[in-house]
Amino acid sequence: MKTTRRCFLQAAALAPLVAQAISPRKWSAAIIGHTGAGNYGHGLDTLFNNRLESITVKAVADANAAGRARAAKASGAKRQYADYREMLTKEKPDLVSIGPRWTIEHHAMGMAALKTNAHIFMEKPFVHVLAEADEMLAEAKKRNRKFIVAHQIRMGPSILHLKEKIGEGLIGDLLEIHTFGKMDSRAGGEDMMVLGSHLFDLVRLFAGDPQWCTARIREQGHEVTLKDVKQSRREKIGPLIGDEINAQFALPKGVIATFTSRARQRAISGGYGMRLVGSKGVVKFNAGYHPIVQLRKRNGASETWERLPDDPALKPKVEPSRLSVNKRLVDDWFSAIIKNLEPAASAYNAMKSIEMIMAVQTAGLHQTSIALPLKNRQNPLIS
Amino acid sequence: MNAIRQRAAIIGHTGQGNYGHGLDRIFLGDDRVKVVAIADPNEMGGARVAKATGGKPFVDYRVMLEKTEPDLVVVAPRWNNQHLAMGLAALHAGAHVLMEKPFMQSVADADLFVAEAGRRGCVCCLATQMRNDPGVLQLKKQLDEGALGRLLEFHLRAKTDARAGGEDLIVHGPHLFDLLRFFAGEPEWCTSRVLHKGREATRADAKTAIKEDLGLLIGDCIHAQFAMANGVHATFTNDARHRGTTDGYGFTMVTDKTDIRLRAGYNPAIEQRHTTGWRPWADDPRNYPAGTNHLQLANRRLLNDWLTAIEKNREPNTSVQSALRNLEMIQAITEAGLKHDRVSFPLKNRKHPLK
Repeated sequence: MKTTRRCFLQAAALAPLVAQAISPRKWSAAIIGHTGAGNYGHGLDTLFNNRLESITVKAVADANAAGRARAAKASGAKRQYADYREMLTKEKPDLVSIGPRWTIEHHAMGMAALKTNAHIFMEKPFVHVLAEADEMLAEAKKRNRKFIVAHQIRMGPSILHLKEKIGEGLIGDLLEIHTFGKMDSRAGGEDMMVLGSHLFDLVRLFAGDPQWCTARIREQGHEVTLKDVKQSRREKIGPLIGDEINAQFALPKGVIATFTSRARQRAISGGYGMRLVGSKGVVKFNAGYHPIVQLRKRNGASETWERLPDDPALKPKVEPSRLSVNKRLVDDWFSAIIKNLEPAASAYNAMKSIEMIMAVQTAGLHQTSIALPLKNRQNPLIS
Repeated sequence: MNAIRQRAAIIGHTGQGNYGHGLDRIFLGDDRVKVVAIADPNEMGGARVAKATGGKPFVDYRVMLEKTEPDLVVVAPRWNNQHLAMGLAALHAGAHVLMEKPFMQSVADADLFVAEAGRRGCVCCLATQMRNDPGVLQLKKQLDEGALGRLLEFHLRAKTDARAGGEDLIVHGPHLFDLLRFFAGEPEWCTSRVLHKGREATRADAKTAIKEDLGLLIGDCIHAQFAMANGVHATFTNDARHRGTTDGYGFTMVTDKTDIRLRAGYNPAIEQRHTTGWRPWADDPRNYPAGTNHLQLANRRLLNDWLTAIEKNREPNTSVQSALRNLEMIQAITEAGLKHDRVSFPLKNRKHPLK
């Protein structure tokens, strides 16, 4: 799914036509949510609210009447549907926001939207079965639809700035990436599925595709087996495993990445985020809407962390909020549609981060190293 | 025991491992032991040590052992290519053995030695001095008492100098894994990534050390993970590019309350992380005057523990049984790196993984 030079030239040639086809009219959008079954994650019900001059939110679909009414009010949707399939058939929107945090309906909703030729913006976690991601990616490719997943952190100005700075040698050669989940009551498998998807997306952003993975997954002190497979207490995001995870990824250029999620470690981990170790320095940032990037400064035994002086987040053009963070993704999504390019937070990238999650689960469960890309496209926890 | 002086012999080999880390001087000034002989095929080297210790010089250690029948034997060469032969000869002469690290070139060789020592009731130990350091012992005590919280992670770093990779693993790994096992118990399994010039190493990349005969080794960059007892997660990192940004040769332990790091050496520095950086650990019992000879002090502790173990017929703190398990961890890293898979403990493959 990389943008090759050939692809780029084709896209460049097509771009004026695409722009002409889309720009003169208002784009139509629809929102799919499911109150009580994942709701509308991270502002995906109001995704189009700051673009109402160019987008008409035609409808919202939600099986729950009260939730549907709330979402319609929040988004300004003109019509409401209980069934998203009916909405898609009748409204034929250009753009669809698929909002549920739960993954159980993502494949059905995504395929239905693609089959009405819509471009898609979907809440993460993307899917809990890789084959479902593969099918959606293939359908999107066949129809040339642009499919984005809400991995907002990779589009943060501080993160893009950090990536540029690392490329310029800020920390020398990148050697290690250590990622830490939230380690709250979801510590372990749920933490990895919900928040690890962001972290693994960022690992790939900084260091490329993993080559193999090993992991130790424990549940109440023992290494897990299929008997330990469980569901989230609150969200239907597929089968989960483990209350403690230590995973390692081998990445190109000798880079090693780790993922840690253990409730006992929360107090001293430094919080949800990551630390990048280079041959000349170390940086860390907290994951979230407003990542704060800090560079380690050492003077003898003293050690402080300082913001990068030219971090664009120090002088934000817009105060970070759910809306402004999503706007970056929406801007990129539109640009990708118009220019016929892959969006940065593409569904392909989301699939790769889910693949890393499944690799950890497989490695932990089977107590072995797992090569990536994964051959098994089914969920490893479903026997 | 003090009434009867132990008769000691020292085996060295000038030009082939010499006498590692002051082991030729370990008995100096100790009235519990009399050095009766030294053996070194290099006559000049042997004469130097004989003069310093008062022992009678021999060229052939086998002859020396036969003629002098010492109670104690120090196998001193840093190179371990003769450790098995020297060690077994000493055991066959009925001596207790103190050996320089690295212990042996393969787990199979270590098995032979440990079994023979057990059969003969000889008390044998390895020169992994940090294990007896008072600061290390105090740290362990506080950890066991819960004062430092519950141990979660243990991160080991070798020297990452010109020997970075397989050689660093073999030379400094024994100290690090000895400390890891002391604090965290036994490993359950290991995984590792061993790189050679930026790619995953294969058997074809096996090589020998730059300066020392330590057997075959592999890799210039190693990242290993150990699943330890009680869920402790341990890592070993060795990448020359890393040298400028790590905390130096030693370890960092992570508990649910604090981070403690140790910079390895004869007088290891122990520090605790605070919000503004690392500060000397407040409960460190050591306070040595300037000019203290820390190598001599560390070897004296080693000797004390060895002699006490002999007297009480117990395992020394740095027993060869323990050294064998440390060596298994080293061999496991190589094997896991080659197999690209987990290697469980105790090792099934006892042979050198690169042979």
